[in-house]
Amino acid sequence: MSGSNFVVCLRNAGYEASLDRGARYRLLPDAEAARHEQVRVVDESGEDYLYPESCFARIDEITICCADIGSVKKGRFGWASVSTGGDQAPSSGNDIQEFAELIADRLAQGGKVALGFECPLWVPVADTPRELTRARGGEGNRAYSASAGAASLVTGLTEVAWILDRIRTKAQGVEAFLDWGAFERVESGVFLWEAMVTGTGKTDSHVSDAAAAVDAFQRALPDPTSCDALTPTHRTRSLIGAALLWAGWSTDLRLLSRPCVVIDPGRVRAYG
Amino acid sequence: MGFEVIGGVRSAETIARGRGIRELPRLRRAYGPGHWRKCKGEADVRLPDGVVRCAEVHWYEAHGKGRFELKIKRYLE
Repeated sequence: MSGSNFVVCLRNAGYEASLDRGARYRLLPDAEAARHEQVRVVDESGEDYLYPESCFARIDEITICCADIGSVKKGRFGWASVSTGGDQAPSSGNDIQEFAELIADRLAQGGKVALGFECPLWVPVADTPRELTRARGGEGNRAYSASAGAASLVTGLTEVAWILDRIRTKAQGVEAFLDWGAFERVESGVFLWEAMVTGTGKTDSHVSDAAAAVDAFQRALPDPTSCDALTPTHRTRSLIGAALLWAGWSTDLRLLSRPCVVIDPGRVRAYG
Repeated sequence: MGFEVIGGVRSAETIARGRGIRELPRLRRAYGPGHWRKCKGEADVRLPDGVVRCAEVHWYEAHGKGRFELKIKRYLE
């Protein structure tokens, strides 16, 4: 279990006071323990102990970042970023250019980035005309086509494309993924996801909303697809797929119908 | 979890009690109220790979409840 400073607990049976299932723990190097299929982990007591390796999964070193999509001109754009390995200090801001450069730098250094956007990144195209613009499966009464969702969708059409284009220009040769399994298997690349910060998850600032989404994605690890908030109920028109094609990340036209993972901080809390 | 104590625990002593235990609220939540103590001792343990080692072990206990969450702190030899 090498290459990461953190692990996520998969099983805590018999150790409910020391470990929480699904929580992240710092991993300390211990070669002797590794020879006995154990890992040295700083548990909830704040002390390090030896636990069976099989009780934990390694967390890849990933930079998780998210942009809360909104008018740049009116100061309604915010972003936040953290590193799962803790090697980079958390950062945030309102500057879209700084955000794109941060991601491009990570990718240019050969890192892995999970890049989220707080705006609808895919929409369903129902077979029945009356169901067109109906909420996505799991959105409830906050349909992407209602005023708030529609406004961020439109703003996202340009801002997401602009960000992907900037990153692409600076980090040539990097692959983009909508499939988590494929992203997990590579050493470097960018995984695209949608953040859905609504209702009680909403905070008082764009940076805080982005930070809440980043935090939720981090808590959804090691498998964010298990916390996917939405289920495609019809054929999908993928806005993120279209943006990737437009910015030259891919020539695979199947991206136009590929949905992405949607992370809702409120639901990740519920899953936890 | 993942190892077996062979024989008993030797040289047991209390290293913290009550509010001196950082994870006291978690202990109470998991196992109920009590006069909780955090203890340490030495034991021979069979590890997941079958090897037997002497180790310093820590655990929690409360009167009338017994011993909980035996953890290996370090190998002693």
